[in-house]
Amino acid sequence: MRVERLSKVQVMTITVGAIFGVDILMVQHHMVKIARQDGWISLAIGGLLSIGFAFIYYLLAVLHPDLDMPEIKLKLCGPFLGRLLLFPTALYAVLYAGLSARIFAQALKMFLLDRTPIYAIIALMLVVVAYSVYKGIYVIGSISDVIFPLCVFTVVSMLLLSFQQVDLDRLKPVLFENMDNVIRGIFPGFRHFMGFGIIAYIYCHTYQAKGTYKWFIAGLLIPIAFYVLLTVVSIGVFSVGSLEGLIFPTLTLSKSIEFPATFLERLESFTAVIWIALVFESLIVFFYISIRDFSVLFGISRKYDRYTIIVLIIAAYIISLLEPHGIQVLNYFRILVSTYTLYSLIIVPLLTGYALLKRRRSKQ
Amino acid sequence: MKRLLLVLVILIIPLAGCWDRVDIDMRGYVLGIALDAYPPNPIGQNSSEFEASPEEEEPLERMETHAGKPKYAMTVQLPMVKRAQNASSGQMGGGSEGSSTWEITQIGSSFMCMNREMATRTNLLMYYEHLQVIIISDEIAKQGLEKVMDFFVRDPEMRRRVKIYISKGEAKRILDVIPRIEDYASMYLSLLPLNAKKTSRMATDTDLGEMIINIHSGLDFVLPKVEAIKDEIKSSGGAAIKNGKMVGWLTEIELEAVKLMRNLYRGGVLTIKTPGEEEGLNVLEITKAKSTIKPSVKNNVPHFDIRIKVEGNYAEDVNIHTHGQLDMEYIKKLEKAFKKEIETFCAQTIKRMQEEYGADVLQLKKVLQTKTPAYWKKIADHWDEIYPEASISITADVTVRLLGLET
Amino acid sequence: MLSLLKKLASSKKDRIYEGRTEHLKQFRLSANIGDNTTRLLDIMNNSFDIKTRTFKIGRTNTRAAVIYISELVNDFIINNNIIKSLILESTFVTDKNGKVDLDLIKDSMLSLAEVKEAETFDEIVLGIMSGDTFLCIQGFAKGLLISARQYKGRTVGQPNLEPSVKGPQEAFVEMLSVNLGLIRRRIRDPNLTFEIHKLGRRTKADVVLMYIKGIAHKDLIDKIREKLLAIDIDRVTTAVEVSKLMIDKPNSIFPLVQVTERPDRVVAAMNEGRVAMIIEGAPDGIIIPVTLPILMQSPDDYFESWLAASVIRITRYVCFFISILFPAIYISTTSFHPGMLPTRLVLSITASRTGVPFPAVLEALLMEFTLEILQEAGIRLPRVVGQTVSIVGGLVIGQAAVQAGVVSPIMVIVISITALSSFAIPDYSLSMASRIIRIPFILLAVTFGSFGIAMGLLFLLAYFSSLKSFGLSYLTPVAPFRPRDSRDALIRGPLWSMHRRPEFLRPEDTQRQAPTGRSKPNES
Repeated sequence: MRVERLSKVQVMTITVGAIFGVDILMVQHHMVKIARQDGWISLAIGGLLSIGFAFIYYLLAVLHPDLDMPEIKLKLCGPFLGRLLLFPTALYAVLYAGLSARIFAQALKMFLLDRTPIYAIIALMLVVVAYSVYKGIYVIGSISDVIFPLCVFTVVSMLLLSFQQVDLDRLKPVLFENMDNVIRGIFPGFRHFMGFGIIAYIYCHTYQAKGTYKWFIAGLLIPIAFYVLLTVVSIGVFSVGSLEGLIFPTLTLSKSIEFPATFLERLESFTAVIWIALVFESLIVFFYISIRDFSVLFGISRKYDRYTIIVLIIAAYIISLLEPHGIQVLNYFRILVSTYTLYSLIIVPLLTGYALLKRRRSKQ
Repeated sequence: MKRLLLVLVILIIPLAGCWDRVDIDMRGYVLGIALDAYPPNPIGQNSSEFEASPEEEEPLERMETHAGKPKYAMTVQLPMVKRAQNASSGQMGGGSEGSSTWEITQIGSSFMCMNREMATRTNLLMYYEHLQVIIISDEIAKQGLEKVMDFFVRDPEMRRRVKIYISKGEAKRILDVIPRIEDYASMYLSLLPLNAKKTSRMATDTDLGEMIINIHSGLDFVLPKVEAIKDEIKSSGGAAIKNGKMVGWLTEIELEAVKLMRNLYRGGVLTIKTPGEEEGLNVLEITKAKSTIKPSVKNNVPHFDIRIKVEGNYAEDVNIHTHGQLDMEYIKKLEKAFKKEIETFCAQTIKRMQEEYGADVLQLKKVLQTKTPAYWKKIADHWDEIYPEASISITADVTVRLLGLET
Repeated sequence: MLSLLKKLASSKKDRIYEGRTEHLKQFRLSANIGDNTTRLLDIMNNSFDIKTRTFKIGRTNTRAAVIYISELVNDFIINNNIIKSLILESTFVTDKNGKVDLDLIKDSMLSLAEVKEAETFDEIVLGIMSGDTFLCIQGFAKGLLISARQYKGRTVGQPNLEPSVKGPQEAFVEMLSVNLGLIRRRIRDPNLTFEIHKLGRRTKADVVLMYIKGIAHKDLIDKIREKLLAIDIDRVTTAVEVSKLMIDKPNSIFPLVQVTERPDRVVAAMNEGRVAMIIEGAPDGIIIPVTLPILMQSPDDYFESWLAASVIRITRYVCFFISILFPAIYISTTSFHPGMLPTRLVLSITASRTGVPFPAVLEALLMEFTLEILQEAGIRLPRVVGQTVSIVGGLVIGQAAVQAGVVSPIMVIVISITALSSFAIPDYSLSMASRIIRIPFILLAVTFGSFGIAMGLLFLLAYFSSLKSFGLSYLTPVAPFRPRDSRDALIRGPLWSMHRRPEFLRPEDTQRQAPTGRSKPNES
């Protein structure tokens, strides 16, 4: 009866949901390890660069208004090469989902559930994720519409409340004999925003109205601003020396806010739910990506999505439980994201260039 | 699909068991921890309290340790909830004199191990999220804080807003005190720093998180001192910590000076002798104090210019009659006297810190690091030698704003 | 006649006495009124309330008969306007030849508003069953169905389920005609359309679809009509029952249609572009489609200042969540994360729980169960003894259980607040649903603590997002977010800002109010 489409607002909220992931718990830790008190500068530069890169993605999607990313790849490069290019993405999405579920379960275990086994935490999470992904992209859009304001409210209030503990002196000296490290930190900073690639998957489901790109960029700017602010505030509260030793600084931050003698003495009870929601949302987005990729890769029709979901969820579940060492999982996660970022830094501009070329040729 | 998921969910829930569920009355809420050195027994400590019950029974078997001899004695304070509640609501009537807490002492070499050993002695599950204070005896503090603090930072149940105190003498004695208006000494101590708005002789911003940040950044700092007699606790003055080790006590006035210079001043009073009169005293209630430290380098020696801007209200005069005399001229005179007083006691404090303790409690190191990074890079390794040589000048600026209801 | 009956009885497939009456269509009236009356009485099994009166018309020898059900008609009208005039007046019954003329009787004789001709038995039987009076005259193979209905029922009263402080205090009654009147009276618009359908193989109830043509979207009306006509069931008594047969997800515990007894609500809904449905014999109206934010609205919202109404509405949402989550949150914070509570509160809860033998979960489930018993008993008990429930419930369950040490006082507080909050939800079905999903949340909380609650909430969110009421997402306009429509969702915006009808209902006429005053004029 009604043709369903994603609204412009949903383009923003889904993009935000895709970018915010388990990274929000530890972005400061990574950045400070590389660039010390200037980590936030690397992050900001990386974020700004990612906007430029996001445009390439957007352009690729606009050139193919009826296709999503895997279909575009197949169309541009033919069935064989296209599938070859598609495979890493498909694999990446599953690995990413599995590893981030594991990391998050570890964080939860530390802060909330001491003795609950990791496999149970991940299992519950993945079951709900499977249910939501099964309902399709429009339901994902609705979910992100609800989670978005809650997450903005929580992150902003957490930043505001911890601001009284911030000692801005801890950010100084700015850029003193630290340029090398800052430059080294740009790529890892950039890496945190890779989630914007979701635009190539959802653009074909939007109304494709004129101002869509504005909302997309807004969806990119909000995480950039939040990550940078979070890093600044964390450095201000914990100092570089302490931050280097904290695995999940964001959780520690929400745990160190305490108002004297009020009911909301301990804020983390409230924020914990929001972190769960954020990670959940990024999981659904990444599962959606992997389902689309695998379906196209093996030519499975949309009718059988449910089976693809079950297979992928089980795959992600196994992936998440493979490595016994908690700290090693973090390393794998970093390596995975870096590798994939490099891969798409090369592939996507090539694809877009080729698509533009093809279009010009066909016009002539 | 939906049915399958539903079945999965329903299966998971009973399969799950309830790993983490512990009913609220089954936990032992540790409110305070006291850390003492062992052996020798802390000053004023008979072995009776530690190992044996007062009736001279056989002591409980000591804990075996995997590695090392027992070096520490940890005392935790558990509330005896039922008793406290009944006493306060008056249902039980008598027996209000008894303690409403239970202090258990355990000796050992690692805190996690001691913590778990306590599980052999209580039927409750030790729970640290409600920890209010950690009291460290000066003896341990002198051995080094960093050595003992790891458990309290690593364990996710610990909160970074836990208050830290250094006790003069045995730490356990503080927890043994039953404050008259509060059931638990730990709660009492955690709320005490709120009074720092009224008095400047009490250290502020000295919780676990702050301490750890200082230790990790290699800064020297001050922790509050706490003492106790039978049913009273007093926290004033502080312990100077250098490189994670306590080097000596700060008097109340020295603490006041440090707070003024480190911009931690929340409020307090300043008393001076009336200029030109023998017996008279003038009192200023300080409402606002702000300090800035400007570093500069001359001949490879750092110089710090500390400016303290103080605002306050005239609060009292003793032994002199100023009624109707507080005109502008008089106030100017007073301001000058206050200024001089501040400059004097601050300079004295710094001198003692530089010469006697060598502790950089003003955190001048941080000032150099952030404001003159190039110079800091040169001297980073020799800071301990350079610090006592650094020249420091103090300028205070006092404004008397209000005079109360009289002039 | 007998042969006909035998024939009817012998043909097994089309037995006239069977429940289905569609096949009566093939039988037509004969010219013999004796046959006709006997057959009609046979079809209706000679029930004693079916009255027949045979008489002669005017001064002719032509026989006529009226058949009606005495409880459904106005006796006075039948006696005076039908029988009396037919017997006494001879002027208008015969034509020039002195023969009785049915058309003449119909056109000039019967001074009644609704008279129609009928020839087939199904029509006639249904007419008689609905309260029409059937008049047949010797020599004519058709008769007249004369409407002189008088249903007996209660008068319009106050709304019981949806009371409001201000605003109209009228509620629907069991009589369709009265209900339709209540609505017509409020909208004097010729576009207000009542579509009548008969539903139920045996009940043949009148179901009326109501909408305003030109506001409600055509697709929506078509879809609803299609669903309505697809229903094949022997019996319907209430509109809710009908709606249950129409919704896409019959397993949903959340209401996918709005049930109301307030005509003013139906009118407001129709003005927004929604479609309403009422049924003969039931005092409930159904409004389609519905979303969760709509269910959380109350008529009173629109009678107060928008700020006050918004605050109240937000309170209601909070109550909705308390009603679902409070016991779960209590369990998860006390049994899993007591670190989240202030220290003094933890100590006082601990003190209040010392001596309670059950774990908090069991305590919660026990109290929850007790609460359900109380609620159910409160509804079932006659008003006279209704007070007993509150005394027994309040005193015995509350105070005595605490004093006996079976439950902790804090748990009584938790469950009471939960119960109160569930009463603050304006829609009864929604409040019922909130009571039901409370239990899974308790189970999740007891296995996974606050993580379980969070996952439960996310599942609920996914479920809500996928739920559809006649093609409309259940969370609209919150998700998918529609900025303009959200003025009347979580808050109640000022009336001047709502000068357009809600977009998500896709009304054909979007303008509700002239964009005057403080709104931007260029928004056209």
